[in-house]
Amino acid sequence: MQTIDQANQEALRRILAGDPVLVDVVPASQAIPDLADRMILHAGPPIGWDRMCGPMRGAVMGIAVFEGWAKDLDDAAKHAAAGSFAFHPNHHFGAVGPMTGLTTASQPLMVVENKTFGNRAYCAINEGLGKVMRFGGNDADVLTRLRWIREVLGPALGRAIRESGGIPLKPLIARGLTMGDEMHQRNVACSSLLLRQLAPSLARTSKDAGELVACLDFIGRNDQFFLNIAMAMGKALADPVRDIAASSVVTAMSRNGTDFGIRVSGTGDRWFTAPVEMPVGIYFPGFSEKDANPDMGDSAIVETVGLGGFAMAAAPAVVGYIGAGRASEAAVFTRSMAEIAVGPNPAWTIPAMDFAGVPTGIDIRLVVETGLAPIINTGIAHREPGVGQVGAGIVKAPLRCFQDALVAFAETLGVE
Amino acid sequence: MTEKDHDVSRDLLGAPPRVINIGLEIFAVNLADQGAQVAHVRWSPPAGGNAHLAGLLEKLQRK
Amino acid sequence: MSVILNEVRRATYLDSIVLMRISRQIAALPGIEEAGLIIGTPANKEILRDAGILGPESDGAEPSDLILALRASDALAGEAALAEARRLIDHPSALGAAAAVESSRTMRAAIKRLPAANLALISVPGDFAVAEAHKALELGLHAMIFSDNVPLDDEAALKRKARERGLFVMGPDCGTAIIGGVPLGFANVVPQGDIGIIGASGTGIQEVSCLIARAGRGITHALGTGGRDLKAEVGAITTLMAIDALDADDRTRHIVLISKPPAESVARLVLDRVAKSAKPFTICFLGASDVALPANARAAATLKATADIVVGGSAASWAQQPLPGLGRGGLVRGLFAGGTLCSEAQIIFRQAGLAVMSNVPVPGASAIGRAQDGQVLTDHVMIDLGDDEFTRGRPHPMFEPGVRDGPLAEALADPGVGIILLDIVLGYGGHPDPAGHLAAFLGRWEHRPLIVASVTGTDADPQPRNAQVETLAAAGVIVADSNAEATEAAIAALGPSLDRA
Repeated sequence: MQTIDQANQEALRRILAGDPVLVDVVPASQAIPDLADRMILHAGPPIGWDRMCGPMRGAVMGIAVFEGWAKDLDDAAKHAAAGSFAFHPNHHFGAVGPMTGLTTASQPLMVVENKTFGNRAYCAINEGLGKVMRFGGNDADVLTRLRWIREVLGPALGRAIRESGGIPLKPLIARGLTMGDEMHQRNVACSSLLLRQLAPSLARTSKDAGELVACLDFIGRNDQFFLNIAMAMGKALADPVRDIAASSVVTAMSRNGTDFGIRVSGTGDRWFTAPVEMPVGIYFPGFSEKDANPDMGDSAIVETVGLGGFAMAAAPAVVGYIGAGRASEAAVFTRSMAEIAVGPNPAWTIPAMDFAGVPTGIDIRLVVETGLAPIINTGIAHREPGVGQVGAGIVKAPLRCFQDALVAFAETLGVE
Repeated sequence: MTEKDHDVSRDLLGAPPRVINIGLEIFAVNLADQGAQVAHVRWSPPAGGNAHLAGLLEKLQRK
Repeated sequence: MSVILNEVRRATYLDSIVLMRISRQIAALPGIEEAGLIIGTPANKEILRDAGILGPESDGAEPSDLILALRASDALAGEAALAEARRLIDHPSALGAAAAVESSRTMRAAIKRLPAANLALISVPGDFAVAEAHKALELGLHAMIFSDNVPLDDEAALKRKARERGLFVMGPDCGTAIIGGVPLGFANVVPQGDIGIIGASGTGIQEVSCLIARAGRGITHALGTGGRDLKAEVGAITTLMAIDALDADDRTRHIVLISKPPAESVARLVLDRVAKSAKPFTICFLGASDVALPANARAAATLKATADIVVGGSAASWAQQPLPGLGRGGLVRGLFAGGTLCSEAQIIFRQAGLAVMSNVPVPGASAIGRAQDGQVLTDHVMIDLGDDEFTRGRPHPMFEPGVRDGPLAEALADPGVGIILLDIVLGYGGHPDPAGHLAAFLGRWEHRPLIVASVTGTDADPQPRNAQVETLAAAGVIVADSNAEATEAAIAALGPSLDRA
């Protein structure tokens, strides 16, 4: 049996060895054969209707109507309360989703394949900014947009990606880091690089000019388009790290608006949960803390692989945007996260830190020892469903998750 | 957590000391003022003072 | 109407000196009568209670928490001060400490910053020092443990483990070391030379190294062993390793050993090793007169005598002017920041046949009771203000001379006290202007007994000795060249008609 340090080195090695490629867009039912009728996958650790926050419930009601499982929102709510839907975490089915993160059978999912290990991860296409389902939006406009994504954008993207032979993501991320992105709150560079790479394939494979214009316009207007791809990439990189005996490295961090959950390599698929914390940040004009929804989304998977808050030093502009201090102090965050990480990623380096690699592989032992919880750059949703994003900030993973995980991890090694 | 690849000279007196200062910051400040090589550790009780968790961490160090 | 405000910061730790600085800054804010930032131990809560600033919010505070406590003239001033305290806790560098040093939260990260590191200087609370020292040894670092209150068996186990790995453990309770000219902990700027020092006492090392410097000589290295290295349970592990190291060091031509008299078996161990060396040794088992030494060693009973022997003459030649006669009572009250200087003073009193009391009595001296309030002292008294009894929850007098103010005021007001004996210890780690503080304090006292002091330091220290001496002299303090000479001057000033025992 290898030592904990050896196991963690193996965990880090697997993350660094990953070769994530955006290979396709396919309907969820095709990507996830177990995704049955009336099954709703959500962000975060397991949760039932009764404990869901406002935006999550709003999204559930909307998706039920979208999939034809209810005639209207009220009907959807009654069905949900009556237990007509089966709720499961995205993570249990190889998927991730931002904010409410709902994944259901007919939605097109982007497919990222980790060529090194052969595993795949999925994420829906980013709806854009404003009143969208991931913030709990569920009115006619939201559902119309989802239908357009299902019928037009999804298939178009799929054709383009297949025609291109797939988009290798590691080098794209590396470039984005040198251009001010951290892949959680700031994805504009990666979104632009992606569109630049895909545009010719989109043009070649589009059915008509009108469709091409609509797709280019939709993608081009969304600074955060790449987020969902980064998330699927994060899961594709982290999944091969699961189940390494004696490894104390985190394989998933995720929130459902009520609970924050983590999974640790050496303790398998167990979730260690604690109440989510409130993000601390700045609010768009007209909004304040009293409007904020608690922390939500599978997007913390990007911090799990060294990006987002961990790569803050690459994105000084984000520091001000999330109200975390002076841009010149961005490196302090990354250095702090380096204290709880196994090691740097030599492929993803930050010029402002003399090309230090992003701190990768969160070690729960170091989190508990230092009390330094992972920091996550996050959008802040309005607590009422459907209003949208009201701000951005930093949220910390609750220490209790790591403390509980440490006790369980120690048990696996016969230590009490 | 051992770092067996951390190479170090066992000779204490052969060259000016390169110091890891853990605890009172004033000592690190003084060493820096003197031009000595020092890295300061902002120490606080392991596991925030939780004796059970600190004990687990210590036992896990030998695994 | 004064208000008491308390706030508890969970799982927050700051080192004692930083806390002291913040407390001082908050206490100086408008409308603040009293302020304390303190770790939430039961003893500390008592201190807050005694100061009249403990509030009910602090009841649940644990030792891993930080208590902010203050008494303000009104709620507004109090709230403003609390806000400022919070700001300083979150940004301690805003205190304006010299050169904010780059720092990490773990030893592991610090080593990544300084891969060439070879020594860990550990000054965390004693309960935790052992674990940190083990970590250091496992990372291949020598350890200097400034912390005290480390269990004796832990010390022995650490030193055995270190010895196996060819590493030094200097300490616990090792306040001073100088390696390759670099002062570590409380240490002075001493010129490089050919004398190596091994000391179980920090202030002992300071006094001897400064006297050597004053004689125009210098040192190679000064290694601290910790106060208990020569106990049977520890068996002189560090002392023996230090002798080996200085013996092998080409530049070291003379070795000095300073400690309290060790147990017979340990003394034999050490002296047997000394005998095997080709180098001359000067051995100060403080207070011991009758030590059977090998041929290459000479004995000294005091720190001054040690320095004299090593430099081959007189390390300091203080032309002692006749002191003014005593205007009042015939008792000497010694108030010391350096424990070994307190011991040396007692030893000299005993050598002169005079009875003396102390809170840390040497053999032949009597113990003073702990409850000093109301106790009428009718003997010469030497107090070590750095002893646990005085430093629990408060800074050491070497960091904070204000700790001496209370006992000094008592001595100044006591008509039975004719001479006050003081030490001023300079060097890195110490207060920036101890003489200035003392002079200012004394300036408020018109009627005073004789005040005799020594200043342990060099002109190259951060608080240059010559300037400190001038400040004291201008304040009417008689400054001797060494602690021993200050003590002898005090005895001489008592006059010939003394009861000698």
